Amino acid sequence: MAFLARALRHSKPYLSSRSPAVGASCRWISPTASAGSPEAGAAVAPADPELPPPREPVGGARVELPSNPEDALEVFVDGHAVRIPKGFTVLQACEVAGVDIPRFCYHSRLSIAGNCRMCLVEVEKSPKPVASCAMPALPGMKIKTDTPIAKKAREGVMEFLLMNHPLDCPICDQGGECDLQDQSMAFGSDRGRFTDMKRSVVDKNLGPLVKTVMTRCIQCTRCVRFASEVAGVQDLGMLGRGSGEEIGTYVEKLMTSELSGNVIDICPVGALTSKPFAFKARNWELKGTETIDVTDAVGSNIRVDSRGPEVMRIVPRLNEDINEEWISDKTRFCYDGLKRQRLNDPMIRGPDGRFKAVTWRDAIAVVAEVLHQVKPEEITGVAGKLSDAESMMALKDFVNKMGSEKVLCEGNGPNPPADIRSNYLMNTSIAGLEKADVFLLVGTQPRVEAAMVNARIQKTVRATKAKVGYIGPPADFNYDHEHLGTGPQTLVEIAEGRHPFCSILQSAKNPVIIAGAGLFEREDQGAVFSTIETLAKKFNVTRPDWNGLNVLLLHAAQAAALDLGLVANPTESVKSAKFLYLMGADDINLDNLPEDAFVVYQGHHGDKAVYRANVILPSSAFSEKEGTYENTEGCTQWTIPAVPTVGDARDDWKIIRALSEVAGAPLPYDSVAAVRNRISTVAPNLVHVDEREPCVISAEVKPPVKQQVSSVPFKTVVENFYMTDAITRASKIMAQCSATLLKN
Amino acid sequence: MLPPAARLAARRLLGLASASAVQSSARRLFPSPISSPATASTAAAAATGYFSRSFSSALNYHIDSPENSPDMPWKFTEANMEKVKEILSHYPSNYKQSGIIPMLDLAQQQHGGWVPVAAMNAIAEIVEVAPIRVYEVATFYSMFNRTKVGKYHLLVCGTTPCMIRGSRDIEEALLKHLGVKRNEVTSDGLFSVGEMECMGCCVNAPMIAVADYTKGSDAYTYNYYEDLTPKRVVELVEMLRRGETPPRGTQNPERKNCGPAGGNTTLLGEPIPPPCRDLDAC
Amino acid sequence: MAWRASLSRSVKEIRFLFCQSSPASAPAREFVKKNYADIKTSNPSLPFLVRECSGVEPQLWARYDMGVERCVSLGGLTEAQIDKKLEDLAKAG
Repeated sequence: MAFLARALRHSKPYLSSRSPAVGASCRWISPTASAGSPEAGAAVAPADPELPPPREPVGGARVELPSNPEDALEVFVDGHAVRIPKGFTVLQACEVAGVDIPRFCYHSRLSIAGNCRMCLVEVEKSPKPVASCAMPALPGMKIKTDTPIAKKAREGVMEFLLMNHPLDCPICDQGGECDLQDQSMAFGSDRGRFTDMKRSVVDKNLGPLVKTVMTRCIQCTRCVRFASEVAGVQDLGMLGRGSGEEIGTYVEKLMTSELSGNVIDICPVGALTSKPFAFKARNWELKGTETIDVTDAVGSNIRVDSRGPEVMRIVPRLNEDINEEWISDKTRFCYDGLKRQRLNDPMIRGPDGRFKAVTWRDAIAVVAEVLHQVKPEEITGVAGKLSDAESMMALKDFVNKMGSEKVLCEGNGPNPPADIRSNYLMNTSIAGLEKADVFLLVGTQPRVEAAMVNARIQKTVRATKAKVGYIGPPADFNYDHEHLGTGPQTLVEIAEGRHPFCSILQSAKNPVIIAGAGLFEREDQGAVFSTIETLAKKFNVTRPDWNGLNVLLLHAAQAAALDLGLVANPTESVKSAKFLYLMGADDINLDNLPEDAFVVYQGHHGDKAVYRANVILPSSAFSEKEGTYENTEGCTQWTIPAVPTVGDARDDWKIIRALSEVAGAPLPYDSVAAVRNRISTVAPNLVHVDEREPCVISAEVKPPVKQQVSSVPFKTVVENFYMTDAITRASKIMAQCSATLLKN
Repeated sequence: MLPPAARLAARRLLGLASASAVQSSARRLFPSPISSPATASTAAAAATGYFSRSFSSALNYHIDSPENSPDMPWKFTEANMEKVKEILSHYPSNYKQSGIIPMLDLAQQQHGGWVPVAAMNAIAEIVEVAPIRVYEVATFYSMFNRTKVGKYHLLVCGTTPCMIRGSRDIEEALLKHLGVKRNEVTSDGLFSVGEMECMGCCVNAPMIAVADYTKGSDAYTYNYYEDLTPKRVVELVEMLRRGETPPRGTQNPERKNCGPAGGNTTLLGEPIPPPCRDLDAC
Repeated sequence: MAWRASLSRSVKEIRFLFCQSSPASAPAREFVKKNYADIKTSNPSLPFLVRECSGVEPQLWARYDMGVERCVSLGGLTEAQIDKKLEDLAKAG
């Protein structure tokens, strides 16, 4: 739509009261002989006070000129001089100058194809219009984007593209957000001359996520380049030639990549669209809410598009540091789980074993009563994978106030390393991974654990041929890697210098070690991490200017939980519990729970733990509450409520606050700001939103570990990528994906 | 009163229908059961649409069949593997994919005239690229047959010079004689007829090329038979059927290669050497 | 330091909050670097949380039973003084 806005802006002089006879001031109109030459324009520019201020780069982008003045050059775009770094293309130079050139096949994150020809601009001294996306900008080049030649080229290209394009706008999902529609409105002509038969193409089956109507394809090859470069799977290709070209997989092959949903965003027309979202809504009906994804620990920035009380779809937001412009399939398609299996009323399990809906007053009264009947050390609180920092703070405060120390978060293992922050965060930061040249992955399969981190590693491997060594069970990687071993023994060998991979690590300038949070669950966790730290020291992985020792967390709540100090031992806490408060915790092992323990389940989905619960307190999901989440690199982000919560559910921390009031141990906060104030006294980085606090205290301060590593090999932590938490388990789309797309 | 665009469209369609005299063979390939003008013209229009789009015999996507599926085991023969190594030696080791085209050709010859998906996968492994890259190459070039062809694949040139010399009649004669449609294999598996672009024999038009897959990849031949008449082409086919090798080149006994009937009227002697060059002195 | 061994009996959690780079937090940073191993060895199950955040005043928090917390500001204190403050907090529980 930016093209349309710019085109309208360019047409303003016709609407303004300025007299068109004043040649010099009407610079947007097709240049006349006098005002047309850029020299005249450049000369006039500083002198004429009626001229508009210099143009801002497109989208408010910041242009970083290299420090060496040799590496910047000057070109002229429509008469305006701009300084650009060397190596920029004409299209990028025009973007710096504030001119948005229409394009279909060019994408800033993919390689240049140059096959759509929509970006043609006129360059002085060039006999033909030039494909600006592919032409490098040379010093002193005079680029003209609004001349009759450029306009005619665009109209011509648009006419050609529309020739074989079906008249599907009314039934096409991309209508309203279609590049073809927008650019033909802004740059195309009003009539076509095509009277022959349009070609049609057979639809391909790419799986339950991507709907294909290949007749609409304009053969820009963005999806082909995305699949092979960003997703790392070479599945799609351009088959045939000429007007009979088809994008497809040739053989019947589903797109199993975990980033396959991003082709939906990338496709400029309605050829590849979202299958679950097909025919559900038009984009102008939807209200976009900028929030954060919680299905994994990456904290991808998303925009939740909702219509009324229903989440219709999830699309990515740009965040260069974390997820660039992509999101994983799980993030994108888990939203239909928000509509199923929701808990909407407080319930108490009657003597016949069945749940009965009660009022909040009754439910909380019952819970408070039971609380007073148990001893303090028998109270255990467990936070779940999707809990936000506010609710975990409230839970911890409440449990502590009741006299118990047993508050923990799922997935942090028997002895959470919560003391030193650099022990459980991705110290290199996700964006920093791009500078690495050797990766050592220990017990982690980033493809299924954190798809966006894997995309970043794939980007680095592709750009710089970085080497990847992997220790763990055989797993699927979409980049070349060396499978060094399956267990801690290999790690010990590398730490002691006996393994061939040591030479690669030794010669690395920026080595990176990524340990998976699955290692937290191991009995010899301390020894394993100690070995990793020895390794790090030996190969110069942690230096003042580069910290390459990282831990990849699995769940959205883990980092905040460790920051806030939820560090009890799960097995002991569950074994000794007579009152168990599960706050969205479905994956905790309840085998050792005493028979007579009273279990309160506070969550938004009726997942696994409700079967054991005695009282159910409904709470809101991530799309319905303001919550603070910290991602695996330590960046704190807020979720914003997009839709109203379901039924009688409340925010997690508010429920605990109310419970504390009734139980006689009231917590000292009544508003979100007050909770955040309290959090700032525990972990102040959790109130610095959208910022990442680097760690200065490294693991070296830790006392030496006497434990030995065991020989148990590392396990796969995520068995089913598509179903990892309550929301994804309730989602029908995720169920379809697990059934059809898992590689087994 | 039709709007201008619709009138233009109608005129175009009628124009196509009237031009169907030239495309009589086209209509006979796709016979319409009801020969009313409307359906005939749409058939012609559809026929034109078909012809103008794809020359390749196969679709741009693969359909599994018992004799063509990705899990069919397929390997180059020992002898062909040597040829593969020779092909790969022409290209740098990090650009093995340059050898995809010659290897596909070799696979086609080995497999009796067409390339199964399993062969494309085998080539992908040799060349160390993803299979889709080989599929892209195989679908781009129309001479890679991805569905079964006859042991003798007869390719009739249909480009303008041959066309005005009657290649449509040649094709019609062939198809009528063999009882097949274009790109269809005869029931004995021996012949199939396809269209080809200009093969450079315009002086000896019309012509066909015969890709001979009967003797495997070692004795694969691709011969042109030029200066054809509908009668002669049928004779050629019957000779092939009997296992004979008809004389290649011009089928007009009075011509020698591309010279005129009755012998050359020019270039009768040795060409005059270049004037200034003393070859012996160099 | 005998009191260090009995730290975990009285205190349930220790938190050090300081800035990564400000000079006011430097003594706190040094204290943690030098003494963490010792305190942790004698109190292996005591949560000793070290939380760095830019722009934060150096503080020492101790949490006792029943959620009672006590905070001491470490601004302007030397390492020895910080040690003394920790001892005071331990004894106060």
